[in-house]
Amino acid sequence: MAVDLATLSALSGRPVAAFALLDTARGLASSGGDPQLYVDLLSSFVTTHAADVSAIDQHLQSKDLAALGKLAHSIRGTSSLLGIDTVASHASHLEQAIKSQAPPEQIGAAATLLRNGLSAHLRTWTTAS
Amino acid sequence: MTRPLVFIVDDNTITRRSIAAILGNDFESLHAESGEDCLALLQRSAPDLILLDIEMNGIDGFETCRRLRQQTDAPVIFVSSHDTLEERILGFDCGGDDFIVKPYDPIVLARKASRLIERQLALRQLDAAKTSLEQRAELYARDISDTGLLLQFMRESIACRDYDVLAQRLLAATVAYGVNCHVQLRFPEGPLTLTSQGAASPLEASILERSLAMGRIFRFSRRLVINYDQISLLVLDLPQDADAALNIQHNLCVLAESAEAIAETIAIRKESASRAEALQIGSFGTSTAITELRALYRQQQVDARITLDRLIDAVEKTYVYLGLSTPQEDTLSQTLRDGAEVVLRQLDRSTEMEARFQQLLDSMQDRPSSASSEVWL
Repeated sequence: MAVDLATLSALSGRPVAAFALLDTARGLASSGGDPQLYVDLLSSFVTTHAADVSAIDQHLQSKDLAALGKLAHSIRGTSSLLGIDTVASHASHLEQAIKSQAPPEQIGAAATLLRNGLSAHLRTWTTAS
Repeated sequence: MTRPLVFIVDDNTITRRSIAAILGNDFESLHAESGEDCLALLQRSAPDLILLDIEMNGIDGFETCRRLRQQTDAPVIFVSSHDTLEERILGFDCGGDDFIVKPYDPIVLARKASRLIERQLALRQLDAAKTSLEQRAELYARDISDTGLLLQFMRESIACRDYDVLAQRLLAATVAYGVNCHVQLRFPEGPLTLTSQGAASPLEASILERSLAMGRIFRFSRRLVINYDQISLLVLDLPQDADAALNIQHNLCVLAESAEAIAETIAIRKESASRAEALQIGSFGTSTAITELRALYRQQQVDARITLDRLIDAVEKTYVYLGLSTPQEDTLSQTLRDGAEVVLRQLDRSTEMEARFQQLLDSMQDRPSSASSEVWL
């Protein structure tokens, strides 16, 4: 996909830095090679998962592992599709930890990593304009 | 050509839009957020492919697929993050055709979708070809059966000598074609009208007679009139289906035309029989006349001989008063006898005449007997 970050930046109205950590080739492929659709889907990701940072906290507090696992599964699906690799990787680790019934502190650590990674991505995307 | 229709079933908007973008403009897509939405969509549209997520709110992808299979044979590809062997096997057991794991490779997704749609369209073409062949086979079978009915009618009726019997067989053939029909035969002795319920009422007969003015074929609603010179058919209940009605019309036309030809043959037989009868009566009168003529001729010969003898006697009796010499009397008598002899000789060609009379009578008796004339009837 010969679409450079400057084009994506221009289309999205976000700084180039917002795309620095993304696998844009992967994200563009998932968007049928359409850069405009890709930036639309990235916006859609922010909207869809905006409330998930606090949701992770709540599920951790209430120790609702099923809900936490489902949330991680959902975040992994879309983030990996759009090339948001850091978030996808954290979500995948949390999902695995829950599925393999890892010790609570390990699950807690994985959840915190996902929470922080997602939060960082949302912040980068929303505050950079 | 219309684009293939793909159902994209996923509770995540991003995934749905991503899949639609990957499939591109060659496909038309309809989106559903849940299994229930997908099943509702199926009531309105017929998809060529269904891309189905597994983990959704409401019924999951496996249950959705089971229910889809009761209504459609469109291929189903599960698109899911669930990628254990058990889940894949369950996917196939529920009627799925393929499995793609999220995050999917866009190129693989597009290829799998295209191949399954091509396969589905090819299957549908095969199915349509099979249906078309079956319909054609059914048509041929029906055609053979229709032709069989016509042949049966012809075989039974070709030697028919009677209008009543012909009318009965014609009616039976129309019943075999599955229609309620009135049949009318017109011949010199008067029209004969039959219905499947027996002899026609005067009203039914008059309807057929009036329909003669409507031309060879006349249709109104489910009724059909077919007119030939001597045959008319009135069908009361043509099939609702246009093709079936046309088929019946064609078959009955051929039937009526055949019956018309047989009716003409019956007319020729009847005329031929009546001529032979007249000829027999005529030839009997002729031989009677010839026999009488022969008797008359014989009588005439006898009468002439007697008359001439009396004439000669009467002349000879007058000799007493005429005072002729004996040689004169002898000469006169001889002259008279010679003259009478010539007349009698001329009349006396009886042998020859008898032979001629006998020849005439013999030739009259050689005429075709009533038994041999049957051959021509």
